Amino acid sequence: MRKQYSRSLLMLGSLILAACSSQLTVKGQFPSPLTTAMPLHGAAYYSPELTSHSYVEDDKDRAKWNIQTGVAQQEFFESLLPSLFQQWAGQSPDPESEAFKLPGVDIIVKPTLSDFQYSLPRETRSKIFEVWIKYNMQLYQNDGQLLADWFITAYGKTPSGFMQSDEAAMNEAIIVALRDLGANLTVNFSRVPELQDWMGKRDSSIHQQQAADRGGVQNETP
Amino acid sequence: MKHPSYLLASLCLLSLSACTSVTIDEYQRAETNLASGDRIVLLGRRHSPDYETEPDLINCVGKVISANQSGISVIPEKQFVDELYPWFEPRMAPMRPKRLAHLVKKPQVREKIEELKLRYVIWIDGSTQQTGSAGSVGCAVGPGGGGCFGFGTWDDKSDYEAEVWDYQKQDLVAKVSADAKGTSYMPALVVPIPLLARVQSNACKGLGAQLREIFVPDSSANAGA
Repeated sequence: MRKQYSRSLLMLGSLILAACSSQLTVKGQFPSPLTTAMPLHGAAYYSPELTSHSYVEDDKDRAKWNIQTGVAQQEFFESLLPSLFQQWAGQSPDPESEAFKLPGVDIIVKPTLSDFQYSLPRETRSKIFEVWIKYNMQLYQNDGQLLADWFITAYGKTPSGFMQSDEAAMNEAIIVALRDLGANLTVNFSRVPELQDWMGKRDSSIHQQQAADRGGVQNETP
Repeated sequence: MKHPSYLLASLCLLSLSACTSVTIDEYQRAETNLASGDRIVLLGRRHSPDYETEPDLINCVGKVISANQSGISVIPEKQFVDELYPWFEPRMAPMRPKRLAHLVKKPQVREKIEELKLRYVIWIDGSTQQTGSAGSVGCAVGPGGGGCFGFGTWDDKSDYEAEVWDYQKQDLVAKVSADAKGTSYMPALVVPIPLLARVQSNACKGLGAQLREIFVPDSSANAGA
């Protein structure tokens, strides 16, 4: 009898704890950007840390949240990155793996989520859910050599709506943050100095090769 | 004999629930000229860290503008922002008509806008906030049942400003502002009865009707006829 009583208490306790925590798998649709593609053949590597990322709030003073963002992040990059390149090869193996080679591809993009933060309306005494995301973006050449490495931040917010759950509002704030990241990348990706230098060097070597080829053809002409 | 006093009390409470005042101001710089097939879009400003123009307010104003067979075709906000992604995201959206002129120098953006047959862009900035509250309502549950007792009241304030931009001339055409205030009440005698002031809804109706007037003069009179 005592066993049954304690089991019921345990179940009640678990129910109360479950009611106090929020589970969220981020879902959303991401439009492709309207932009001029760079004259490059690109590919992307999504690490298992990115595609299975989840944020679990462990601060005992905050509400318990378990936010699964991995699938949404991959979907976001899959809709964004192909539009930035004239040719897209899809997913690449890990460019840091041994003897990595991806002939025909110019650049491999590797995004890594380095920080994820949020604030709730009850914490800021506003009616807004806010999300900050920080990514480490890395570009690799087709032989696995690191070309560029920089950080990029994004911010999203959404008002808490009447009859809208906290999970739906948080989902919306994360989607807004990812869209903000896409806006930042669309405008600034081609301005990354290391990428510009590399493209400049590549273009000048192509021009020199073409000039040399033309010279050779003229010399051969009688 | 008790029934008339209950009826009177209910009527008083209902009349209190309708207590919302709306003030509309308009400044028009140029005439509008919507040709057949031309469309407009309403977009909410989302760049401020303190507030966000509510998407449901934008939908509501759009419905008011296109209601009563006004002949005005409104492009849904989400469709427009998605099709022109990322140029109308909060960090990228043009804040002045001159920036719009700069933006449409991009051929892909200009082609998409022309494909959508856009003629006017209406930016709406503002929000509805709770400005004060008083009283309290307490609820209790016992073996014999439960109930609530008390009286709560709160004030809401809407403050919106709309700017109408002509896409073809890339210039400001008009500005309309809507301020609304209202007090909501929650008397609770066993069951709480919320008597809500529809502050945002009234601001939406006032703003939408005034914007419709800019595109279709005398449309309010026709709608009422």
